[in-house]
Amino acid sequence: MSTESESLVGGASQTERRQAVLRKLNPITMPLRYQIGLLGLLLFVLLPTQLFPDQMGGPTTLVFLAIFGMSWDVVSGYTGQLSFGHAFFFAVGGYTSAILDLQHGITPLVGIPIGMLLAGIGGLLIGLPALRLRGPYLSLVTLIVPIILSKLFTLFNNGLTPLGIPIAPQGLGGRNGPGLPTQLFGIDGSGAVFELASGYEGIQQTALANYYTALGLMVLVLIVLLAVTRSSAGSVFTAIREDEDAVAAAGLDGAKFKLFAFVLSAVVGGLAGAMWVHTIKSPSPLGILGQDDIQTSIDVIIISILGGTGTIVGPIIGAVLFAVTGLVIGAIDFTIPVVNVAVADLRPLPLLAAAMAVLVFAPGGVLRVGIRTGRRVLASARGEEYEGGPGEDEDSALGQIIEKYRTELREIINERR
Amino acid sequence: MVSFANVLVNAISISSLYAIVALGFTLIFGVGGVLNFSHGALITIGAEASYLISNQTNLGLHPALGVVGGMLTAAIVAAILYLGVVRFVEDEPVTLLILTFIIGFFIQHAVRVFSSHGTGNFSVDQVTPGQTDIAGISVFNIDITIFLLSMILIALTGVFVSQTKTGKAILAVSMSDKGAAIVGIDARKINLITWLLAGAFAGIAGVLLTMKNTGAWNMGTQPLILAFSIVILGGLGSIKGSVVGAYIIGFTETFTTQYIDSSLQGFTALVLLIVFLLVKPEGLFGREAAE
Repeated sequence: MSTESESLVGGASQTERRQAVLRKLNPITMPLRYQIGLLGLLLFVLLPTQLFPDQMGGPTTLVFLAIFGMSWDVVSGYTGQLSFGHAFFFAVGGYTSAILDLQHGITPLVGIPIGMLLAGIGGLLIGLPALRLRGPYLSLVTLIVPIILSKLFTLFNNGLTPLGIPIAPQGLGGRNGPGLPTQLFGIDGSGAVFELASGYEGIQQTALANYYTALGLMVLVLIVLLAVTRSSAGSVFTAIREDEDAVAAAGLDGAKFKLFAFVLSAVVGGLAGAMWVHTIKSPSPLGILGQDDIQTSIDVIIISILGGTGTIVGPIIGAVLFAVTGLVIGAIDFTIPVVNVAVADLRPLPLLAAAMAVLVFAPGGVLRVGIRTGRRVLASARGEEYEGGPGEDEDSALGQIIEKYRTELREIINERR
Repeated sequence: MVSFANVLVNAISISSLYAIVALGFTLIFGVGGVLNFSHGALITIGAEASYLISNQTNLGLHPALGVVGGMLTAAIVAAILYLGVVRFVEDEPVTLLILTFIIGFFIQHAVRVFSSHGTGNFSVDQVTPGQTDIAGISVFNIDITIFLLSMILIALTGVFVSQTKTGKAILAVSMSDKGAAIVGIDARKINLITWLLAGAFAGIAGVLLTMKNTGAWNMGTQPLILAFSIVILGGLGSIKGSVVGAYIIGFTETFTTQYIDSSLQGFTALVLLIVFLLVKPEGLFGREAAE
């Protein structure tokens, strides 16, 4: 084992190894694409300096969308198990924490971890059947699970006390949601967990605190997911996407890794969902699950595809594109003649069109296209001919998901015959 | 209190609609291996077209023209979808899956953005207004029309597939692309025909659904998910299965919402489906396509 880690970081003794790690983390000597990534994070940190407190809602939502996208990517982008209903996990996390707070008086500081835990159990519940179901069947199950959840919210509108156990004595609130739970941050006297200054200053601080908390969570999730997917577990995820039989032949239990990916993704989604309802989002089916109980799940997929599936970083870029497209379109003050519709009212059509275009013309997403173009530009600046970097000749992640799905579909069709 | 007979009539009528929606969905899957998530949007298209043709605030033509117009428009949109998009990514099921999903959303949102009703509901005059007494039960004529029309369409599809040359070619392609190609069948053309048929069915279902209840820009989503459920229940690609599945889902849905709790709409059917998926994923008639 030790020889492997030596060769990785390039040092025999403890000190040498530490130095090698430090050298890797030194921004000056990093590869260009990491430097650009760090710069992007810095921009995220500096963004609030350019905005008024009442404009912070958009960026905060963006950060949450990015986290949701990353949580989708780790299971669907890496292992190729397509989930069409990831908002289920956000809703489980959010509702758990909100109900605990509103109806049991448990502080969000305890409620959020419990929400995370329950979402993880949800991941287990979906991940277990997912081991048996193939492509289209799994897509269907994940698609309808959030719809069933939404129906449960309506069904137990006025109280959920199975066998006398008061899970949610005042009910799940139906379409309106259970109400606004205690916020993590608020102005002085608002009853929030952390009360900040009073008056306008307090509003300002609340907006900033919400944003930086979300951003902190995003960085944390980014680091954890990058660590997992760049570790040997990540290689197994990718291998599952490429060829499950090969994984089994190598003596690895693919099912275990698939389940792990599902639970990890669910835990991350649940955590973000729980944080969401205690900062900027009021829990309700429309708010968390979206239009027809599936819109949020679809948005998450669009974000990941725009940025690049199977990259973890991609969804952040996708979320930025998602938000910026919305802003730009919304700001265009022009009415299309003949049909008499303002450009701003076209939302979300341009975004959907963009997603379609990326899907067909650049299935690797904006991130991969960006890196490739950048390398080409740099190479030509050095006067060299660019011949493709390592790994670029291989199929994109989406291409492999497609291949996996196709095989499963073929199996199903052939069985039928 | 609604009488049992009325609930029964309603269940039959709604199941008949689900059956033709599911029929189109399963045809496209059986023949082209495509899970068409934009199928729901075709329902909206049909409804919207009939609204433009037959509603008094628009052209105000006879509702029967609305039915025909809705059917044709949806069929044409389906054909455009196949020729313009699906044909190029046919070999990539996941791209296709996500793409049809996004296209479905795109179409429905486009209807919302460009129509005069926006997010509001819209209505179309019933093609057969009024009620008829059958054995002492008062039945809406539109329910009778829906049932008869659906039965006729299903029967015609059955005859078309088993008797005509084109229909047999459709069966051949669904069994084996290569085999069909060897005997000189153009799979592209067959696919186009199934998309046209599926679009027409979805369009009619949309018009009739609007006449029975009301229409809305996102009216296609719920039937789409139910159609997917029905098709899995009956066995992917099986015509008989999708009709039987439609009646199972339609009856479960109507009776639970009527007699247990109205908020159960769409709930029992989906739970039933998940149980089914885990116990018998090949569906009720999973092997029919082989015969």
